[in-house]
Order: sequence, then structure tokens, then C-alpha cells
Amino acid sequence: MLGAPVIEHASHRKLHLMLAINDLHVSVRNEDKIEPILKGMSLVIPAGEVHAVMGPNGSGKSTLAHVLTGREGYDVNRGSAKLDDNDLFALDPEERAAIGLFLSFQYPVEVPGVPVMTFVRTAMNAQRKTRGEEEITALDFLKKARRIGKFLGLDDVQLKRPVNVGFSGGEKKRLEVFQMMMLEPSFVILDETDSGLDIDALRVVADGVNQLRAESRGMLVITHYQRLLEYLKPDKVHVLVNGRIVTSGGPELALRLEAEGYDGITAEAG
Amino acid sequence: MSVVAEKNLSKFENWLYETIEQSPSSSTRRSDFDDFLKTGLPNRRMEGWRWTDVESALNSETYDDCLAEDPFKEIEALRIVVNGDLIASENLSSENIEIQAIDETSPSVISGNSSLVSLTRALASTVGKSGVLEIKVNVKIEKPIHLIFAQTGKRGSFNRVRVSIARNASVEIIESYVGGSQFSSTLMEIDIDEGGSLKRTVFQSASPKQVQHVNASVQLREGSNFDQTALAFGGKIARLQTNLTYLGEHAESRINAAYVVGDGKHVDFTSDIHHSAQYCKTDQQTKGAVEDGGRGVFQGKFLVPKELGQHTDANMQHHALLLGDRAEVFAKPELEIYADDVACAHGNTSGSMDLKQLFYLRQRGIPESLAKDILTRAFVSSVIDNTSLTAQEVLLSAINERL
Repeated sequence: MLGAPVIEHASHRKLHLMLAINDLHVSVRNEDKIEPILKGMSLVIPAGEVHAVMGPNGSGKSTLAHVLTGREGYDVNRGSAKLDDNDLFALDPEERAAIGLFLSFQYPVEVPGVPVMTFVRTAMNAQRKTRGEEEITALDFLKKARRIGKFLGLDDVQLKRPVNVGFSGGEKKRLEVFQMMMLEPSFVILDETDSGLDIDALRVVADGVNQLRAESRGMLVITHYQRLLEYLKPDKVHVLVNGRIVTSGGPELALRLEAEGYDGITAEAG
Repeated sequence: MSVVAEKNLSKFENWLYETIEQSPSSSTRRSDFDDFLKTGLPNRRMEGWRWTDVESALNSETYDDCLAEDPFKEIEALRIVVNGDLIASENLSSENIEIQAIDETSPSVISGNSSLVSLTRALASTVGKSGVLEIKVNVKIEKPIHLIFAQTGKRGSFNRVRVSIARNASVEIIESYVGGSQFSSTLMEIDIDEGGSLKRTVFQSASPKQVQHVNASVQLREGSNFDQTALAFGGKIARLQTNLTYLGEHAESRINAAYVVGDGKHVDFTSDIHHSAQYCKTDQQTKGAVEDGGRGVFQGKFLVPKELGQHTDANMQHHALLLGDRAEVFAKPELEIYADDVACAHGNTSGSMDLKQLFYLRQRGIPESLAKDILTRAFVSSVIDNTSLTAQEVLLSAINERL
């Protein structure tokens, strides 16, 4: 980790922010079939903490990320999810973003014809508008983008290219972290951010995420493997199996999972 | 005009008939008009006009004289208003470029078989003395030529422009079709000599009560270059047709088009490219966005003859974005290839917006309607890349303003 902070933390954010998921039941629509994915999931993440959700393929990890951020194609059948006092399911995706919810995508989407800088500035100003704040000046935006770009090893040329078009897997994930550092969300969901990264890229990405750790900010790290957690050092680890949290613990749980696999832990949890 | 007796003329055809009867027309014009009357106005029963029924579009008695905003009006250019009376803004000719009105009896390079071509030949500039605006470019010209086609308050207006680019000469021609009459039809006859090059930029916009037809016939000789970029917002009908023939080897063309069509409007891009010389290259990219109640038509054809077409490299792409349940796109890409040593490709899609992209933008806080506009702009704008930087800027900002 680098010494000097790249992000100047905004002071206006509310403290004790918290993500509270209670008895969440979600199904996914696949053509004519309705398939239940989350089956009574509950999870609380206080402000200032980083929690990891780990689980085998098909356990519902990505569904959790998508349903919290409002992607189409999912039905919430029961339960609730709140960020602070906001009922997430009552808000449009862009409103959830404006109250500070950010998703780092597992598969960042290519947006041909829209340069990174234009995209991020449009997003930033749209969020500010929704919150009733002033737009950022072109100069302030540029300074901030240069500073963060440099920290993440993204140069001006890359920041002028269309969003994710022609970016390698590692560059795409860096760009997700770039957007996150630019937008300074109050709650971050990282969906498989380590997938497709080599060890150097992983370190850069993790450094960026660590820069954002703050008393006022919560994080949910969804991951399949333990290696990202070595860098992020979560406060808690939860194991998601078949749509429910089956066991929770400290960082040592991630190490046990790595050693024993999901089967052992699942069997033990009953 | 014995043909008339055999055919039931529509109201508009009758008006056309009366117009030519009342004007002192030459025998050439009269024979062109007879050719027109053999089939009359194009309608859905004719091949090539299935989706673009000019006859029924002109059946209406009501029309307006609205002129669309011309996004090119401010750029520095040699500007000519072509409105049937041939008014030039200044004395344009010099030793490098000759601009004049010529007699319509000169032979035409138009090879099209559409009745509208005959009609336009018959009636071009009937108000003025001459039928054809001729532009001869003798060297490399830096300043673009801007042709404005704007005729207000008429039922019909007809123009012919002939462009000759001399050997190794080059120029940029910008054409603005901004409406003003119920029906306007323009023939562009373009001949590019060896090593010559032309950048042709077309902007079209008309009201939902106006019908526009633009037919460009282009001949490319050895080693010549043709770059065309068109942006159309449509009208009751807007048919923009390009017929291109390669007459010499190693000639190249890039034919790009973008359209954004709203409620009650119709855009038709039709092209017919004859690869009648070896080692020629065509790259055609068309992208469109159609809103509820709008209609987009793409008809593209490559003909590659057995011997003459060898070593052709041709690519035809048309992709359309349907922005509502009542948006319509009709496409007919045709590759007719008889040569065996060629690279020819085509791709054609039409569909709704990519929901993954839309969600990505919304997750970053961009409201749905703005996100859709951004994605539509980006989609359509991607083909505006082979014109001059100035023209590119103008077209991109016209798209941004429209969306």
C-alpha cells in the first residue's frame, strides 16, 4: 500500500452506514422458468467494515450483487435490503447509485463510442444532480482523474478510449476501481474483482480498494477464492451455500475454506 | 404523350403532367417524361420500392413548407443554393474550379432505372433556363463546396448536379437537403477521374409532410477514391440512393450512413455497387436508430461480375437499433458474386438496446433516459468517421442535438 492517500474523504457522509439484508428470497427468470436462487439470506454490514461472501459456483453470489444494485431479471419474493434508511428495492438502479451504492462488475461492460472520461464525468454529475449538489468543474475533474489514473497505472490514452473497449481483463478491473475511486461511493460491492487478474494487477486493484476503506464506508467482497482477501483483510467472512449464509467467522474462515473446500464446511454447518 | 391515355394518373402525377405541359420543354425532356410515365411514381408493387411507397406518400393534398435547420450553414465553404433557379452566393468559378449551368441535353452518367430519375431529368430546374449545375474540379481544392437544396412552398422541385473531378484532383462536397416542398428530387452525377478523390457528405432532414429523393450515380476510375458519409433524419419519405460503378482498377470507396428516425418519419438508404473493375475495395457501414412510429429501410447490393470483379474486397454492414415496440426496420442486403477470388462480407442486425450496457450506465448513476440517449448517440455516431474533421464535428453535434 502506498503512503499518501489518493482519496480525500468527503466529510458530509453519514456515519454508521449499514447494509442490512433480511430474510431475502430471490428468484431468477430464465425464459419461462422461475428458479429460486436466494432462499432466506440475511446479512448485516456496519459502516467501516469489509465483509467477504464466499461460496461455490451457483450459490447465489452474483445474484446477490445484481439484486442489490437493481439489475433486471430478478424477482424479490420476500425479505428486504436497506442501505442506511433507504429501502433499496424501492429505488431505481440510478437512485441506488446516487445514495452511494457501487458495484464493481465481474464482467465490466464494453460501451463503444463513449470515452472513459466522458462516461465517469457524466455519471459523477448525474449522481450529484440527484443529490442536489453542484456539478464538478472540468478542471477539478481532470486533476482528480489524473491523480487516480496515475495511482492505478492508467494513462491518459487509456482514459480517452471508449469504456472497456479493447481493454485486457486486468485493465477492465483497474477501470472498475478507477470509477469507484472517482465516484467515492458510500457502499461498495466487489463482484469477483479478482477473477482474471495476475498477481501484479491484483495488488494494484487491492491497493485501490484499500485506499477507499474508511470509517464511513462499508464493503461487500464477493469472491470465489481466498487470494484477494489476503490483500483486503476482511473483518468478517460469510459462506453462502444454496442461497443462504451457512456459516460466518473471521478471516481465518477463508483460510479454512481454501484448505478444506466448501464441502467440508458445508457438511459441518449442516 | 400517348402513354397518358393508357394509364390512370394519380393526383400528383397529374400535377407533374400539367407542369411539363405548361413549360416550354425540349424533346429530350418530353421523352424523359414519357419514360417516367411508363411506370409512374414508384410504389410498393415495384422491386426496390416495397417498403418505400412514394406514390401513396404523395397522394396527400396537404404539405408544408418547413425548412429544417441546416447544421452546415456556418462552416467556411463555397456555398451554392440549388433551388431550381440556380442562385450562387458569389462568383464561384476560378481556374481551379468551374461552376456553371449547362444545357440538359448533354449526355448523362446516370444509369439508374428508377422512374424518378427520368422524372427528375424531365423537370430539373424548369423554372430557370438551364437544367444542370455543373461543377468541374481541376486540382486539389481545400475549401469545401456546400450545396444547399432548399425550396420552399412548391409542390415539387427537381435538381441535377454534375460533378467531375479531374485526374488527381480532390474536393469535399457537402449537401444539405432541408426540405421546403412537398416533393423534391435531386440527381447527383459524379465522375472521378484517375487518382482523383471526393469526400461527399450528405445531411437530410424534412418534415413528416415532405418527400425527398436523392439519387447519386458515381463512376470511379483507376486509383480514385470516394468517401461518402450521410446523416438522415427522414421525412414523410426520404430515399437516399447511391449507385456506384468501378470503371478502373484499384479504386476505393467508403460509404457510410447514419439515420435517426422518429415518429411519422421514414428513411430509406438504398445502394447498388458494381465492382466492374479488378482490385477495387468497398467498405459500407450503415447504422440507424428508430424511435416509436419511425421506419428505417436499408437495401444494399454488391454486384461482382465473373472476370471484371476479380480481387474485389467488399464489406457491407447494416445495424439498426429499435428504440420502441412500434419502431420498424426493413433490410435487404444482397451480394451477387460471380468472381471466385474475392473477399466479400456482409452483416445485418436489428434489435433493441443492449440491457447489459444500459444497466452498467444506470449502476453508475446515469438516469435511464439519459443512458439510452448516450448509448444511441454512440451507436449511430460510430459511422461518422470518414469525412473531414469539420464535417464530422457538425454531424456529431447534429446527432447529439437530435437525441
